[in-house]
Amino acid sequence: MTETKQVINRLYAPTWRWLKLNEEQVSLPESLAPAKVLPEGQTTAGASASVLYGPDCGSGLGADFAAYLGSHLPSGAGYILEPEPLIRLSLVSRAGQAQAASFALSVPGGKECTLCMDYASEEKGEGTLLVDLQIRLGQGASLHLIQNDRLNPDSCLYNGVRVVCGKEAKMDSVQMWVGGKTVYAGYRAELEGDASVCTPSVGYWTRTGHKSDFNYEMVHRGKETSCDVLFSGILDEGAAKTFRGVIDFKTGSSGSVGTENENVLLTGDRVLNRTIPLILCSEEDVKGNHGATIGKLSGEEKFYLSSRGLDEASIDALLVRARLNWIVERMKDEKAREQILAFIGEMYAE
Amino acid sequence: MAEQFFALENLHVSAGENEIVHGVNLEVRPGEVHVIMGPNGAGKSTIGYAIMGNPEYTVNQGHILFHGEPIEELSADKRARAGIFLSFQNPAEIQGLPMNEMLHQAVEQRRGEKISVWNFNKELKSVMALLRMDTSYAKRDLNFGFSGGEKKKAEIIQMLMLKPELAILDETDSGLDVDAVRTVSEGIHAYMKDKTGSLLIITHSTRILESLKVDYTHVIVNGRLVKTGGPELVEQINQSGFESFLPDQAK
Amino acid sequence: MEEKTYIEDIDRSIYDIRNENDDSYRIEDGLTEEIVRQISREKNDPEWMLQLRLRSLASYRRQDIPNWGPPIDELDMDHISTYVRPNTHMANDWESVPKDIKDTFERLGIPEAERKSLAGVGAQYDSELVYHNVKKEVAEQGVIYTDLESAMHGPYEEMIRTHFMKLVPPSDHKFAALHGAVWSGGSFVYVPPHVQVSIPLQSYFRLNAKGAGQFEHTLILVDEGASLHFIEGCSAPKYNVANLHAGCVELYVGKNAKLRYSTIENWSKNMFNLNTKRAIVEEGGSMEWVSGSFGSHVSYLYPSTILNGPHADVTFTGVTFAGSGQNLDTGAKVIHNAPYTSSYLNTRSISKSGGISTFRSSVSISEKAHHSKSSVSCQSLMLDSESRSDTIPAMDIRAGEVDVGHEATIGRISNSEIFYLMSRGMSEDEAREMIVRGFAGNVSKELPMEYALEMNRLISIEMKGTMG
Repeated sequence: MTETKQVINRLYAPTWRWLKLNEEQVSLPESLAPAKVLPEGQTTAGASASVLYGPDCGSGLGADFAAYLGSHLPSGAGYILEPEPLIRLSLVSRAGQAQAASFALSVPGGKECTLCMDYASEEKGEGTLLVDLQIRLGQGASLHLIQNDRLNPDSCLYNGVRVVCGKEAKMDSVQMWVGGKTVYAGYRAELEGDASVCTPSVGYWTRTGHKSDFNYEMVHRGKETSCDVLFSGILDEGAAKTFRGVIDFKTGSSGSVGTENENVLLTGDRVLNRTIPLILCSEEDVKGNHGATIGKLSGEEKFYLSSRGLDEASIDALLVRARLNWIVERMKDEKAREQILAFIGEMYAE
Repeated sequence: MAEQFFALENLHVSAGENEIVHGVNLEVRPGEVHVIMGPNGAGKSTIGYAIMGNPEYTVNQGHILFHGEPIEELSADKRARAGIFLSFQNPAEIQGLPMNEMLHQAVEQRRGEKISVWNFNKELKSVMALLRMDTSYAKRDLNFGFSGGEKKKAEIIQMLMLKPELAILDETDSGLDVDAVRTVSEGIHAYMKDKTGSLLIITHSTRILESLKVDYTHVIVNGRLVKTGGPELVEQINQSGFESFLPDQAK
Repeated sequence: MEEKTYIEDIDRSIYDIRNENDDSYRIEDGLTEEIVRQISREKNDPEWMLQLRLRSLASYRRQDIPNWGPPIDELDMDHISTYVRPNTHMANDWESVPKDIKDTFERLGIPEAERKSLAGVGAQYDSELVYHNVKKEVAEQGVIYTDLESAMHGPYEEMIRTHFMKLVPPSDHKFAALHGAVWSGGSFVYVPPHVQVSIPLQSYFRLNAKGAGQFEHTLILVDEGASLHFIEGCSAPKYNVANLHAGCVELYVGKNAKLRYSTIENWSKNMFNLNTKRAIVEEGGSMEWVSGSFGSHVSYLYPSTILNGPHADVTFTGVTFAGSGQNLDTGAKVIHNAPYTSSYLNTRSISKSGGISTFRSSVSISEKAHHSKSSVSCQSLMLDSESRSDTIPAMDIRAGEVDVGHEATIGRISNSEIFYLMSRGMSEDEAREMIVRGFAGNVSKELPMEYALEMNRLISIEMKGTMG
């Protein structure tokens, strides 16, 4: 399969080159097949987001990636979703293929939707899945997005989300990046409308030899907009993870609040854990803060549970699941919760 | 001679390089209520942590004997499964771990048998009702965002579910309002009701003791046991504080 | 008279070279090998130093200007050579020193005698006597405290050779390379084992060095078990028509030794401050940075620390105030290269009147650095919406058994704080100033009294908006 070199997850504001954090170089497939999307019979657009929405539609993965999809998305792989109260989609990845699907959802003013997306592998073996989701929220509209990655441990996933929020719109998402060997997840929220809100929660479990690369951008343009970004994840021995987060308060976004928290649990002794949470600010009347805690399970937590009679193995299992459970609890769809918890349970059993 | 239930034998405990507890001796029989009192910083909580097996503290001399066997080398969970319980002064907050989930597993391990979710929740509900704690707390993440009083109640609930043989309560009444103290006392009473549980209450105030029948009082000052007496000692301390127990040069 | 001839000589030599080798000789920024050799000759450098200068020049030509920070296109790179001539304080009369600089001296209460020196117009001031007394007192303890250039020709040549630009090699970045080629003046301090230096030493030499200390080099070695507090700079603005400062500070903290390095930097508002400071700490050693950045037009300033032995630790306390016309990119870097090391960074930044303040940091924990701890706390205060405040912290962690925490906040002065102070009789402006002074307290409380007072006076001037 021929490939094309690309730059994705470009850091919003570059920094020292020796850190090698400014961007990620990847090789994307030259040809893509349409991903299998269930239930079948959805409306297809025959076009990608960049055709639908114009050139400025980069998700966190970047404008270059958007352009790549624009020119490489196969016909029949672009979908326009109807803003129903509950939309449930299943993407099934096939081994030996590079598959893509692009979704566009526009939620009109005042409407509430839940979109559950589940990614699973049809069989064992390496497969690549590229997913792009473009969301437009009208005034007072709200979307609860769930994206569960239950791909097999040989898979590669590129997942981009871009949401443009109108006045008082609310974007709440829960994403679990637990499957797959390599996950690139980008997310960009344009909080254009006054009082719009974006609250992305992300859980991830990067196992030995696996890699996660995240780029989450919250752009505050409107007044009194707010965001609350929460990442809780686990890195096993020999895992590699990069988290780039941005909260950008543009001039005029007065009264806005941006919060971001990252919690990383390290279970091994050797790991590659890179974090660069940016806050950019050109507006006086805002509040921004972020926090990160990185380390192993705390002695205090372990002793407490030990004093209740739980042995070391049980404690480790409970606390590891707790890190992910904290995020799963935020899913408003029971089926999605059960599916991902079962998947995590199986992962743990291995 | 009947097997000794619980004893501290010349116990010396250090945290890092500092020895905090210097040679404490005491003995507890089944069904007894012991109180350990002393001024702040006397080393009372350290004794509690050492009995439970907190890895931050080391026993450098002496023994902790449970059912006649020394337990200083055992890990905390083994001591817990054997029947020792510590109610923490500041219980850890663990996000993502619902209280009922943790407790279910702990109770199963303590009792050595599987318990159905239905039966467990039923039992938990009645215990929570006794402590007047809303059942919604059971599903909430362990201690996370709980007020001081709620944390203490949650500890007592766990104690009642785990049914230890020896329960150590560390400053259980500190930070509680009048109503909460009463509720927690009721919980403690419920624990003592079956007459086989023993209590070791660590405190520097006497509120929680008002409704309990205390068997022995031990006064700890500067890491040493300076006096062991009966329940009257509590009243004495209530009236005149710890003055009379301080070594001469400290006065 | 002699001075003028010297300058003429250099000018002529540039023209000469150009005329002779028009095609084959590319003149890089006007900074030629001949100029560097001339500088070296002037200073009577030992051969190894000349070689270092030449290697640095080659490195300077190879490297790019950074593309990630504040723009420095205003810096006239084509005429870098004009900055490096030893007697470059071209404002050689008091009259041509800008009025706002003179006003600042007045407002800061700088004694008359010192003003001319600070403005680079020559004439030493009374502190010469102070310096000699200090030097005598610490010499009794065996401490070497002298200027770097003359020390190179004495018994310390070998010590200097094995340490000079080993911690900050010319290849580090373009301005380190420039520094290596044209450095001039600076301090050399050596503290023998187990000596606790009782009084803080100061960078006296900067104020009196030729070229107004733009390319000075500070080299400090604190040997095993010893301790030292070194203070660099002062609150008075240092003015120079040639507006580049590319200094270098190298600090070697030995086993179980302790070094505190305090700075208040207040370069005049036309200056490009591209300073490089780095410390390396051995087993059990302890490094403390206290840093207040107030002046300059553009700053790139990231004191770095390499924790090179187990149980080494570093504390960095800093405050940056970016006012009108300023773009200050400051922060800190820490590399944990050994187990059981710890770092603690506490920085505050203030942006006002269109100033741009960027906090840039990195904490790297290598595979070897298990059981390390790091805590970074950076707070930014925006005083209006014309200004900018950006926080760009990076963490690169490769060991599992670590404890790393990071937090950053950004916001404005809270109205309730202002109201509270106003209810005690303070005007709104006074209230704001008090709050900002309190905000910068993390640094002022670490400084000796007279520096803290000067820093507070600086804040006061900045807040009133009459500087620059």
